[in-house]
Amino acid sequence: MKKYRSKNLSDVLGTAAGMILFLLFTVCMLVMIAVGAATYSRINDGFQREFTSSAAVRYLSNKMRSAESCTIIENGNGAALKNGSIVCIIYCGDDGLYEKTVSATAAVTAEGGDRIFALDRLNITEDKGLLHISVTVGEDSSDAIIRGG
Amino acid sequence: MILTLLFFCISGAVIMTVFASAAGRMQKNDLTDNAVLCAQSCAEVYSVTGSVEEMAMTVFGSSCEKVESTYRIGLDRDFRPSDSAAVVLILNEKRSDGGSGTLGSVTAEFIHNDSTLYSLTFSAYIPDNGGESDE
Repeated sequence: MKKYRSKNLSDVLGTAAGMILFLLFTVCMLVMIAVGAATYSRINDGFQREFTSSAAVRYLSNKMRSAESCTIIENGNGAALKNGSIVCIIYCGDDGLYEKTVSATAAVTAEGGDRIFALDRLNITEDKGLLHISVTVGEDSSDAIIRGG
Repeated sequence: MILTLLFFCISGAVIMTVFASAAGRMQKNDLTDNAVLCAQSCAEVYSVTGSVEEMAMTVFGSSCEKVESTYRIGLDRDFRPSDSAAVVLILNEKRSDGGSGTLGSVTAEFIHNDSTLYSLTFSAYIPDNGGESDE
């Protein structure tokens, strides 16, 4: 009787230990999945922001280099890039970078353009023949300096 | 069951390693991207000023440490001057006298964790009245 009881007890303890080990493993796996999902989300969001800000800076700097002349408009919030009889107006509007093309004789206004990038802030300044371009997307910002036209 | 759990633990460790590696690569890519933009700005400013000191002051807003013909500046992850440098920019300048001016050539090397993140060589011809660049 005593032997049967102790054998029964050891079986129960063995099963319980196995279950606890399995439960511990399950909890660790769930924590790992949560960490992995958070890491993926962080990587994805960071990549989007970084790509947008650096791509916007590159786009602006390439546009400015290829233009015959560049005039800063809207207190540094945009630029009018002239090429022959065409003027390309790039400006920062409602949460984005907008662009439109008008004739050189038309009025230069920062409205009515097509949205090309999602941006929070754009700032262009000129100093000693150099154009400073600063773009902000969320917490990320990218800067570039190019020679003025 | 122990063997099964061990197998799944090893699989989990491999997956975590992959995620950690991905996060590390993303950070390195961000730094490389910023390094490219920074090098481009340095080249443009050097082509106008023809001086590494002026270029550093214009691009970074501070002077850089000079050892013979090599300049060194520590930058943080946002590529702003910082004492606790995540990236070190080393600028090596060489000048040669041309016919009616000086040809300055600068190699900009971005160092992160003792390895070269990005390197760019640019030059500027500095006549008496101005400068032209060739990247």
